[in-house]
Amino acid sequence: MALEVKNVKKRFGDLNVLDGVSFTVEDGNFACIVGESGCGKTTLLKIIAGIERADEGEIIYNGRPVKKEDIGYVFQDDRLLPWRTALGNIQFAMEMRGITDKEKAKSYLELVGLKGFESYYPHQLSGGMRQRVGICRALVVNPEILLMDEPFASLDAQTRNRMQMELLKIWDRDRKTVIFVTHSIDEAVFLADKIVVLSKRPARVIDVVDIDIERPRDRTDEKFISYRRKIMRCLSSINHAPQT
Amino acid sequence: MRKAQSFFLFISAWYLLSFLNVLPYPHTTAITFATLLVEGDPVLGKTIIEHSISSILRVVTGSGIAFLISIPLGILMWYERVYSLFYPILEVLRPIPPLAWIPLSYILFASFPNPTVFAQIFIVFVGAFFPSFVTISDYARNTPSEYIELAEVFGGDEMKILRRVVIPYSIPGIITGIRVGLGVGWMSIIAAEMIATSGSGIGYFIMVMYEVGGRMPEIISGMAMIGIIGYGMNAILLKLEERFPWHSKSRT
Repeated sequence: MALEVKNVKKRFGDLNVLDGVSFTVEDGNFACIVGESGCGKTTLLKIIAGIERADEGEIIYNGRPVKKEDIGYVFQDDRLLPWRTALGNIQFAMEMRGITDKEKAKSYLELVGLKGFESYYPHQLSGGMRQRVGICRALVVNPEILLMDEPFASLDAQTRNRMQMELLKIWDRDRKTVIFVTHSIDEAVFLADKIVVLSKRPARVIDVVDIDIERPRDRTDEKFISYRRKIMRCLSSINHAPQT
Repeated sequence: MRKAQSFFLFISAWYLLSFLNVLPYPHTTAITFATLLVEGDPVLGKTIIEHSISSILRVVTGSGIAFLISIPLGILMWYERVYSLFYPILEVLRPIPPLAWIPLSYILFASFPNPTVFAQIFIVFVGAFFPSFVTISDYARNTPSEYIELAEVFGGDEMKILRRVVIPYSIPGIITGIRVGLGVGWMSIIAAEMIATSGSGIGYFIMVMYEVGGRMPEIISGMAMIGIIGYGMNAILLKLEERFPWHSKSRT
């Protein structure tokens, strides 16, 4: 039982974005994809989600091609519909699949600590709250695989750390397979079971690192720092400007 | 404060023109206007309010019919197929001003029981249709691709995207379209009423006051009424538009 990304290639005209990306994520694992900004991480995620077509290669889930119903997606921008309330935005995802279950949508808002904010509009919520609604929207359709595209990139450092812990808590409840794209090595080491390191464009997998630290993880821990160092070196072996 | 200054400047300029014998005095006109609000005019025996109501009814009917078509058609222009079918036709018809339709429409409706009114409603229809249609279709076609992508990632088909994304997104555009359409419809009815006898209507009133010997205070009163009503309609709909947080600032 696993999600397999097999030799995915993608070009946009002259621009070679993905040059044969392959990796496997075991069922229930939390995988992070790290790589420089603009290296094609979002494109890869969209291909897995089935809203972008790969030129070559395939995405296999449990031995068959991945389907839209398998996927829950969290965008980099919160991408909430401004004419819908928090609850309405969660119901939107259900409506797209022909489900209506208000109670379920409500219970998911409660899960991320937004009870009482059901009827708030996106512009009345903080950045962290909006991103939580975005996570709810992805979870409410019961996906097998949760795809997250730098969901915390626009949040301040404190909110970001809090959101990371909350995400792990939610993930721990039913252990969905997660693919989380980020360019922060720190975030990846904090969250992931496995880190897939991508090269600069055209992206290829440079290394896959299993993170063997008990959760909750301590950012000042020796092991944590050594993993960070390892991935940073891995990135700078190809890139001139390593990122932290 | 600025508004007061602006008003003062306007009245001063008017008085100046009155001293030069170009226009009747503002206060004389104001008295005529006030009288016309409660008493019938000297020729047709109708108050300026009654004339306005006739005109408004024609505008509401004509533009109402226009919106019944322009709203759904404008939204459907989101589909590339519909767009490529209708756009060329509408682009050819659009530059023809509503006033240019007046002679043709009076002929077209000549056999109807009340040809003048039908023709006038038709002219309002033409006037209101194009601006509202263009505004609404622009809005629908500019539905952000991010929202479409969001719907797609959760498995939404075209029909669901139209209903749950394109239509709600376009609501402020529909209101802008109605506002702009009513504005042009309002101008069109005044022009249409000036051309043929319709027994009532603010444009007709102005025309009659002109024909019976150029009664300037009455004519200006009629013009003022046109301005007040047009301003009022616009202001109400503008207020409504501002209620939508995702409303992209009105272009028209």
